[in-house]
Amino acid sequence: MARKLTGFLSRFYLLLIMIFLYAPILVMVVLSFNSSRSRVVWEGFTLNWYVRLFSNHQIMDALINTLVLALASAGISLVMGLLAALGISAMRRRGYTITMGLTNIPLLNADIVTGIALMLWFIHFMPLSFHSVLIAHVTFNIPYVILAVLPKIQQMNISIYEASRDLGASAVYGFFTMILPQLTGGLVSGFFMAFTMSMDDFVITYFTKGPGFNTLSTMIYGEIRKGIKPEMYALSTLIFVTVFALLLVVNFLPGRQEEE
Amino acid sequence: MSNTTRGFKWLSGPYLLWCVGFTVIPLLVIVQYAFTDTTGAFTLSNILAILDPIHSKAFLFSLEIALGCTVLCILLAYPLVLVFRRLHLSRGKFMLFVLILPMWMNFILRLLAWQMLLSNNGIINNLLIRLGLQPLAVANTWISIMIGVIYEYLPYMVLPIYNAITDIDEGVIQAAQDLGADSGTIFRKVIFPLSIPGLKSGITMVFVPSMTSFVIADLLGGGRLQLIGNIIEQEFNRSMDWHLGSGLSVALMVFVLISMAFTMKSENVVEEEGRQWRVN
Amino acid sequence: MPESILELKNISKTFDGKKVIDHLDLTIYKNEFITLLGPSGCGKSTLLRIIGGFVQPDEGRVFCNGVDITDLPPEKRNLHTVFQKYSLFPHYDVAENIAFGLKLKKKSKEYIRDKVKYALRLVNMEGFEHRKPNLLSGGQQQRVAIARAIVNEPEILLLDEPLGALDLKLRQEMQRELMKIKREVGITFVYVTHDQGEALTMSDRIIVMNQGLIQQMGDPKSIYDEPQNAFVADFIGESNIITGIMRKDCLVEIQGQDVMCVDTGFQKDEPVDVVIRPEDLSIVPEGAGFIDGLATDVIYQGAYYDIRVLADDYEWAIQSVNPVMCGTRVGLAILPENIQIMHKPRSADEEVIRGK
Repeated sequence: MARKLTGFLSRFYLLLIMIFLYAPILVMVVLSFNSSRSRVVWEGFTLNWYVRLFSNHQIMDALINTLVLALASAGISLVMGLLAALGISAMRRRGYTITMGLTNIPLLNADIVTGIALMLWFIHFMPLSFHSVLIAHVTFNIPYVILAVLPKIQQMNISIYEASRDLGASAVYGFFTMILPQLTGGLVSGFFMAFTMSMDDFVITYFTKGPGFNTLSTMIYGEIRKGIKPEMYALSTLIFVTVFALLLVVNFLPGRQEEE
Repeated sequence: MSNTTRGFKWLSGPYLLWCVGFTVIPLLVIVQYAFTDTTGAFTLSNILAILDPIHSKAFLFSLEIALGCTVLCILLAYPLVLVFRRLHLSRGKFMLFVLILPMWMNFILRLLAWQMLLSNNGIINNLLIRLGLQPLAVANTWISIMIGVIYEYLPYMVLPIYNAITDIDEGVIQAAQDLGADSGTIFRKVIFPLSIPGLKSGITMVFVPSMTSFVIADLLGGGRLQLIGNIIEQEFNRSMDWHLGSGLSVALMVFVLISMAFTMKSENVVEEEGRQWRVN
Repeated sequence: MPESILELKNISKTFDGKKVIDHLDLTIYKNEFITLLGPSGCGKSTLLRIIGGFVQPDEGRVFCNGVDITDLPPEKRNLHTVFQKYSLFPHYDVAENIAFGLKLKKKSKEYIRDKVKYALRLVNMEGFEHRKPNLLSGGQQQRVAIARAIVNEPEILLLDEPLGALDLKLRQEMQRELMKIKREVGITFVYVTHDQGEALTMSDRIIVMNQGLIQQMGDPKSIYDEPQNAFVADFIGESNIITGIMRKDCLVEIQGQDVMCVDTGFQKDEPVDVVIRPEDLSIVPEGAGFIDGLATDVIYQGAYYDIRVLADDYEWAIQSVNPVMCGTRVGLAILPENIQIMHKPRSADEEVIRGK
């Protein structure tokens, strides 16, 4: 009896949290099909916003900026973060502590402070535009890659790398055939985290972007006073659904269970 | 450490250069701005401006929001993690999936959706009126800011606690049960103490951003309620007093560093344990 | 007649459609060292977990001192488990680990201190009070796990392959230690292992299990000397198991030769399984034994030679203190009382027949 009750309460609590997490998302999805431009009143179903989305150059430009930025920053962070993590794991105690301390700074510092500090530094030597934002994103993304990969390096079986070297493999060949495959799980989740953080960032982009360059977030922020274009709801719904489907396939496709 | 891997440490070279160029130097630059005025002369007035009534009021309000958000996130996170464990959803990446997915609806749009949900003639109130209940008056109050920060930062509390708790060996819990502990005692004596490293990183991930998130206060506080982040943002984008803005940022940073030093005290121990494979 | 402490009545348990324990009855007596022995998947660990309260049986009841405890959760049972993986609390030091159960029972500080001290001395771990478990070796962790269970004065101590993770030398040392502890605290030990050597060394009584059924129970000597079926004979030590025909009482035909034995009560010309231990066979000159064969393999094992002799199509295993030349023809001799005759199982089901 008591067991049943706690079972019921568990499910009920889970339901409440799910409603809390997904209510705003549901609102956006519903609005993307609302034929009214007004925010709250439902005036009938339409796919109009989805159609008009693709002819809106401003939104398309911002979308491309956002995606290129996320891909490039996650890619650069992945390579640099992997090398850094391998290096960190081979360091002695003091080097390790110092490097991990540096790695924690962007994670611990308030986004607004990171953004402002980077902006104040950038204006000394480069214009604020795509490149400054990219550098900023790489800066806050590398720690996520390091934190995802480092535990995998610490658990990996290093002796097979040594065995390959013993059998005559070069360091590079040994790295690609023995070490990299063992780190795939960490690299995938590191890249995914970095990509997500970059897509979702507003504050740091806002301070380092300069005029004329916009990501989706900064564009929407600039439009709040004028009113959000319903095409944005449509775009966000599309992105959300795409990622949802992608994650579903990656995580729950049978026969592709990661060891993690 | 073996000979073959000793050379690995040079691989972190590019990253360390990057750290110096884009983490350390920018911090030095902001400190420089903070301690100078527009003529370049040394001054403490930018830092001490935090004591100005308007600024200190915003600072205290930020502190209240951040503390409230952190505590509520902890209180929401533990039951959630235990429910996941109980319902055997802990296998696979279901938890990560559920918590990270909302991040893919744009940050600003998520907040606008909360604005629509919470506003006085918004969706929740419409629902309440239809059910014959009293409508809420939370729009543009600290409550709606609190809902916003909890919504944004709850995943950062749940995930590290979840990781710490799923790492606990099932045998340890059974051993406690075997020695006479009921489920409440098991939580207090075994699960909770072993989740503290996760709790600590959760606190650091939630406390700082919830204190400074000027966008959330902007959109859900109706512009009347200001966090310290709003003040700093305005110094940069409206008043154009970068020195003052930097001074407030540095004051904030120092405060954050001090408070984090307290929570993170034993972090090194945890990091040390993860490094066992190198000990030969 | 010894007093019983734990009774299992008609216990069954199915996991994922597989019957792990099949209508099992077992009585455990006060103060005995009883071992559940069998290959992995034979149901022995499940049985222990049912006794400990971590698994609910699908059918059947568990009685402790005559009281039905089937529905009691583990924390309410006065018996404690020593887990294979030790499962020490990583955030507590050794003394705190040991004191865990006593603190829950709200014992006084002095009582706990004395008890912890006593338990540490019992397991030979004095001076380790304030070490954290991750700084202890496997053997030391297991000692602490034993102490942690014993301080609570359980009526029964359940041990789930506690030595499985230790290396051979340490395992033998711990076996002696466990027997010493058992003598000192004088409580019932229920021990699970797949290691027959361990079972033969320590137990008062051994329960051999396979496929959820008890194959045989008895003291170590009777299990070793008189296995009741081919499974037990094969599982306990190495055995030659060969088909024979019972000519009459005390006479069995093995590989076409009539050999004297001591077994009676079989039907005339009944096909039987003949079990002979390798150390019971002796090498004699060709023609002097009950059968001749070709020595095909001789390996020096330290205390004896491990010899294989091929006779007809059967390869006999022999342990002998005297070597023979590989490739020579030899005879094999056996004393009648060292031959063990068993009924052949009539079906696959009967292969797992119940013990007496």
